This record gives sequence, structure tokens and C-alpha cells, in this order.
Amino acid sequence: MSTREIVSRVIKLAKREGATDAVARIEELEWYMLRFSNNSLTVTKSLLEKELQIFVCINGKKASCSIMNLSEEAIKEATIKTVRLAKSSRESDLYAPLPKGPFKYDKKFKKIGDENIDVEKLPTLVKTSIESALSSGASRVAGSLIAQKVKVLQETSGNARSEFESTMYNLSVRAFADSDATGQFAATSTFVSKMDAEKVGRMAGEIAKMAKDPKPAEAGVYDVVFGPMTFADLIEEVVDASSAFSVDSKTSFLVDKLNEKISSKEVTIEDDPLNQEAPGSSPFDQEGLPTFRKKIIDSGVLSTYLHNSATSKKMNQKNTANAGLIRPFPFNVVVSEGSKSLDELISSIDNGLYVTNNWYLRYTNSLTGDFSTILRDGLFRIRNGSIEGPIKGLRLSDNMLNFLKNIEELGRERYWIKWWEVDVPVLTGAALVRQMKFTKPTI
Amino acid sequence: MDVESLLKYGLSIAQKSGASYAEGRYQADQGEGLMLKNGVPELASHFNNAGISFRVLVDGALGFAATNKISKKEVSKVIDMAIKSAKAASFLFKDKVGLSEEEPKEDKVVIKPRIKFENVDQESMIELLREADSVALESAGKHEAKLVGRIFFVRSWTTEKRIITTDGINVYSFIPRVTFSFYLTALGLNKLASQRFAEKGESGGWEAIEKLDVVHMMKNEGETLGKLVTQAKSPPKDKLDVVLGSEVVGIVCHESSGHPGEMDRILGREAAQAGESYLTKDSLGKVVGSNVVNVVDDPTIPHSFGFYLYDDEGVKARKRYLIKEGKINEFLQNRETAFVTGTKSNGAARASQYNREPIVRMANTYMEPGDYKFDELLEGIKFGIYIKNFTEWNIDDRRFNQRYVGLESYIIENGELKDMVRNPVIEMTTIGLFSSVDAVGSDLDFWAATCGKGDPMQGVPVWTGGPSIRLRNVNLGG
Repeated sequence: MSTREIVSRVIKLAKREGATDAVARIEELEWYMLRFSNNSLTVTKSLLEKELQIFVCINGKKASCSIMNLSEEAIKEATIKTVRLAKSSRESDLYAPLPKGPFKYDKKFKKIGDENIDVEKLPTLVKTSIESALSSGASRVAGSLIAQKVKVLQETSGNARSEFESTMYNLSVRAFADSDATGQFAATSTFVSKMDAEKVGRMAGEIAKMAKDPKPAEAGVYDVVFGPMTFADLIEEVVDASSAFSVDSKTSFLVDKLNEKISSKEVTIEDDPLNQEAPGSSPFDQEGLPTFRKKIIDSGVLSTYLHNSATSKKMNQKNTANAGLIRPFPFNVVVSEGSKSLDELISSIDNGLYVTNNWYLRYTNSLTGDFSTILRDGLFRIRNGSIEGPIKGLRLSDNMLNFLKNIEELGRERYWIKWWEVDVPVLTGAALVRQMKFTKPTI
Repeated sequence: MDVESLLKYGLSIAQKSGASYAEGRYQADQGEGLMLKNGVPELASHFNNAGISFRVLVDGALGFAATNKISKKEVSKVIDMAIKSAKAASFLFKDKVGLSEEEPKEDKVVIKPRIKFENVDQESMIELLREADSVALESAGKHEAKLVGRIFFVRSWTTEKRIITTDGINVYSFIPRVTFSFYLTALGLNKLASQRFAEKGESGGWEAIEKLDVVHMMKNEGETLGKLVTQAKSPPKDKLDVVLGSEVVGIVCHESSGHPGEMDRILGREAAQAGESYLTKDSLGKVVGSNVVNVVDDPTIPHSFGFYLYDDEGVKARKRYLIKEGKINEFLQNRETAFVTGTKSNGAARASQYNREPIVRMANTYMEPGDYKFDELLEGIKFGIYIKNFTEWNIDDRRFNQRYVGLESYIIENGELKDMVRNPVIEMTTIGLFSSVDAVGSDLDFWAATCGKGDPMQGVPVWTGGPSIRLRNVNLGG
């Protein structure tokens, strides 16, 4: 049975069993990873995978499944079971019928990125990144390179038939000049030709070299320049909180903030599903709607939540084609281009910090936005507009709404960031943020 | 061809293609779950995630490949991918990979649930969650607080594995697991908000959920959140004594003893993502805490969430003392790290799914109980704070600088619990925290968690736990 036949059969069977709405989606994955540490490869990984996802509704009663056994018998059994689960559930208040197609999708996005993965090129990219980091001042280097090709084929009971394929590359490099002097940088693209392994290695290596012999830091409230890695992580949190599911669940700090000014007028943040170079691109969402670029924050004002049909109906707001059948999600995040270089942003600070990376962000309360995250890799003290030297041991302990409010300037040079900590590709530069609170251990 | 024969077929091809070692694993995870959001079922779901993977060693280069297409043809294809990719990149393997020698073993471990999840009708599950929801709402309401966000989730899945290696290991296991988790957001009339997420889980069947008495649990949780947003005061600033509850001790042991004791982190294999460790491979015997601190990781605890008797390299699991009387006693090792350190694996290799490589992981990490009853822990405190559970937490990537923000917390005055306080912050170094412990309670409880590590990310089921403990002379952070 062909992939197209599988999804068509699932829809027919689900409807016959009593589903009012059904979506069947198959993702076929070819995936490679080269993982390295201590300047040496530790493992190569390869993966071939084909997964079927089924979503059904009987009006507001919802059920879903994912299976990897795509035999005729297993597919039939899974479909019937999914409808049965929906039958014995109860009506959700988050329901809308699936959008009625057929829809027209942008043909340019039927194929995104390279035709195929050239596996033989991958070791060279790793070698280049390691050598570049070493020659920039690192003594040891770790990281990973991922290359993947995915084919997506989807059909809905709303008569939306869609498919696309794309490639993705993601390189992340961490350089060590010493055990407490590290630098990290990452890059991602749909084209291998756009992967500048030398630059990623060099940027990680240069930060590590600058971070040598860090002094203990003082806790306090500082003006700060967040480098692209950290700013991408914080902005990903903001965009994640704009999912209407989180808003409806009252787990988002953006509850009741629609159309309010939540950031400075310099800040515009968009979700861009149609970008040939961005690995999150998709011409359709999981309900089969054609996707489009939209502003989430428009010159500082929260202009929309991210919606699927169900959340848009419940909140009586425009559908943004960001399904997620249960939880709407962003495809690629684009932060507006600022006017200042990194050096100019740093020179705007009299007494503050330059933060190059962070990880482990957790909320005390996601409704209020109180959070903290650990700073890692190069962390620098800024005095009188220039970097005084490396410091260590701080945690950013503040509030997301406060962070948004205090963004003053955005950087000019932007990078596509995606790595272990940043799941959705984010195009961003550095940013200047005033008066953020940093803490450190008391003993 | 059955799975065992397919794996053996794969190993034979790998050896013929030049692999000095090969290991095949079949893993099938299948299960279902139910989510209730703000009183209504949001989604019922089920999944079946099954496939096979192989690891091969070719001239010191390690290749891993996996597929969910289970056939002879696909096995040949992925073996070819594993070998070719390892060979093509072999010039980058400057440190040759090896595996420690372990005892050949054939065994079968099957855990049977007493009540299978699929035998419990969905209506009853929905009813149970709805009752828990309404009880939580009502008990928070008594304190003029509203639980504006309420998400409950029950899930159950089974993990079936067959691991075969070219050096004589052939182990089969079947383990069922269940969890109940909740995510509650409370808002007071005063606009103050509090949030609580926690998970309980075991290896077993629906009987584990029944045992939890989730309705009673949610009555208490609702009441606590209600009080927190209406009655809790700001935490004190003075230096004071702190009693940490079992749930906090569990996360401390996991983050600050388990993770830094993982040998792959110590050797730098996780450096670019999850990070390294403040410990080195020469840290055995290093004093990191007071002599009442004993931290254990033990995969073999019956009914535990992190239960297994053979790890994912087929090595027999056993209890491991990570910290004994305040000193580093043992690291967590798999065959790959044990080869580097010239020791034996202690059965810590785990892979979350068929398509993930086995790496060094924790299972059930906890502090061993002491002799003190809870009242006795409080008795010696003139002025202090009791932090029963937590909300936010994080730790640096060398596992030394950590923060735990308390949720249900009380002032202690002259040995008695007094007013509730809001979000006291413990922000300490690992050695600072473990060295401040002067008394360990006799109670013991465990919480379920999904521990994340690896690249790509692997979430594995673990228990974190311990008794209540007392810390002296602590400055609260924040």
C-alpha cells in the first residue's frame, strides 16, 4: 500500500466507524548524527523511520494515536481503537470541525532544502568546526551535527490533501579553553551549502578564549546584552507562551495580554512557516490549512495568540493556521532586525553583563512568568561600554513580562539558532535589555 | 522471521562486514493515556512505538543505526548504514571506542501488572479524574482561591526489549508502567498565583493508581494551593535552619549526586549538551557532604518507576552507593565508560526508545533514611523553615550551582510548624548543601520523573526520593 493509500484508507475507515473529523499524517524520516567530544567523534547515528499519526473527533470527543507498525492489519486496528477511545470519552470545550478544503498550497514549498542528504559531506563539516574552534583558542571541542530528510503526507476528512519534503542541518559546537572557560554556538539551515561550520567553530572558540580565568560574579540587577543563543531561548519561551492552548489552560504569562503593549516598539516577533532556509517550514498545518507568516508581537504589542480551529473558535479570534491538533505551535520564529552591532549594544551599557548562553529555564509560576535560568559558557562584565573581563556563577532570576518590557535595542546581525535548548528555529541577533536580576549561591 | 532471529541475523551480517562487536536491540513501547483539562477530557491517546537498533564497533569507531521497519531487508540496510557511517568517519575517531568485558548472560524478566490498564474502562478513569478535579477545586475554593488551570494526566505503557550481543548476552524483559500527574494553577482574589506540578508512578498496572488515592491527594493539593495564595507570607531573610521534605531531597539527590556521578559526563561525552561534572574520574573518596549523607541509585527496587534488572547493554543491574557517609563512593558506568576507566559496568546503560543509543543513566536515586522522626528534626530548631515540596528548580551543567524554589513551606519556631511562607529559595552549591545536612529522617517517599539527557534527547523513567532532612545555618537565596 502506498503512503497516499494508507492515509486515505485511515480517513475512510475512521468516518465509517463514526468519526465526524479525522486527520491521518505520515512522516518518513532519514536522519543522521555525528556526535563528538574531546576533539574526537564518539558515535555516528543513522535512523530510518516511518510513523503514522491519527487524530479523530466525534464532535467534541477527541482521541489520537501514533503507530510505527504500518502493516494493513495494524493500521486498521489502530484506527478502530482510536475511534473507540473517542466514543467513550466526553465532549471537550475545545472543539471545532476541521477546516473544509480542498486548499491551495504554495508549490514552492513542496520541496524545501536539498534534494537529498549527502552523507559523505558530514564528516568534513565536523572536522572543519573542530579545527576552527581549536585554532580560535579552544583546547578541546564537543558538539553534534544533525542532517535529516523528512517527507510528510497528510489527509483530513475536510478534504485537505497535502504533502511536502524538507531537509534540515543543525550544527552545535561547544569549545573549552579551560574547564570553566567555554563558548558555544550553533547554526541551522535547510541547505548544507548554508552551513558555515568554520564560523560556528570560530565563534564558540573565540568566546571560550575570552572566558579564560573568570572571576566570581556579584549578584545584582544589571543592564545586559544577551547574545543570540540566549535571546533565542528567551524568545522561544515567549512564543511558546503565545500558544492559545497555554492561554486557555491558564499556564501562560500572556493570559489577558492580547492587544496590550508588552515590549518596546523595537520588538516585532513573527512566526514564519514559509521560509526556504528555515528548517521548521511547512506549507500546511496539522489541520491541513495553508500556513502564512504572522506577527505575534507587532512593534511591542501582542497582536495574536497562535491558534488552531478549536482554540480560535473558543476565543473567537482569527485562526493563525498553527495546528497542533491539541496545542498550536510556531514553525520558525523571526525576531526583527535591529540597527546596532554587538559592539554598539555593549557600548550602550555603563555597568552590566554580556551573556552568551544559558540553559535549564524553569518557571516558579508560568502564569505570572517568574522564572530562572542558569547562565553557561562565556559570561562577561561590562563597564563603561566595553567588556572588562569574564565572570562566572550567575543565574538569571527574573520575570518574563519584565524581560519583554525591558528590551531596549535589538542587534543587527541575525543568526538562525537551533540547538539542544532551543527546539524551534529562531532567527535573532543579540539584544540589549535593561535591569534584569541575577542571583548566585549563598554557600 | 521472529525478532530474536532477526537480531541474530543482523549481528552475523555486522561481523561479516568487519564489526569487532555488534549489539542488536528490539524495543516496543506501547500504551495509552488520558488528559483531563479544567474538568473536561481533552484527549484520549494511544501509541505503539516499536523498532530495532544496532550498535557496531569497527576499528574503534562506534556506529548506531535504527529502523522501525522490522524485516530482513531493513536489518541489512541499517547494519550497512551503521558500518558505512562509522567507517566513513573513522578518521575523526581520535579516541578509539571500546567496551568493557562483561559476563555472558541469557535471561528473561517479565513483570506482570495485577490490573491491566486496558481492562479499566475509560469511563471509570474519566470519573476518577473528574472527582479529583472537583475535590481540588472545592478545597482551594474554601480559601477563597480559584484553581484556574487544572490538568490531570494518567498514562500507562509497557516496554518490551530483547538485547543480543556478539559476546554472549541475550536478555529479554517486559515491564509495564503507570503514572498520574497533575498541573494546578491557583489564583487568589488578591491576584497572587501559585503553581504545582508533580507526578507519581510505578512499574505495575492500574493497581498503582488505585493505591495513590488521587482524590484524597488532590483534596490536600487544592487546599495547600488555596492557602498559599491567600495566607502565605514572605520568607525570612535571616540565616536559619532548614528542613527539606522528601520530594525536595529526591530532586537534590537526582540533580546533585546522580548526574555528576555519571561517568560519561565526567569523561566529557555529554559536554556540548547536558554538560560535564564537578567531579573527575579521580574523585572517589572525595568528601562532598556530612557523614550522615548516603545517596543510592538502585534500579532493582520492585515496583519502582525506574525499575530494570538488566540494562540496555544486557549487564545485570545492581544497587549503587553514589555517596557513602558523605564521600563519593561509586560512579554510574556503562560498558563504554568502564572501558575507558578500566573498570566494569555497573549496569547503568539505558535507552529511552528503540531509536536511541544506550547511555549512562540513573534509575531510582534517593537518600537513605536515618533515625530521626519528623518531630525530632524540628525539635532542635529555634527558628527555621520547612520546605515540603518545590516548584522551580535548575542546576548548572557541572552540577554544582543549584536552586530549588519551595512551594508548600512553613516557618519553624521553637520546634513547631507555624505560618506558611511563599516561595523560599534554596540557592547553594552541591558541597555546600550536602555539607549542611546534620540529621536525616526515618521517612522515605518516592516521586516519578522523566529524566532528560543525551543528544537527541532521551527521557527515561526514574524515581527520585528520600527522607526529610535537616540543614543547619542556611542563607535563603533569591
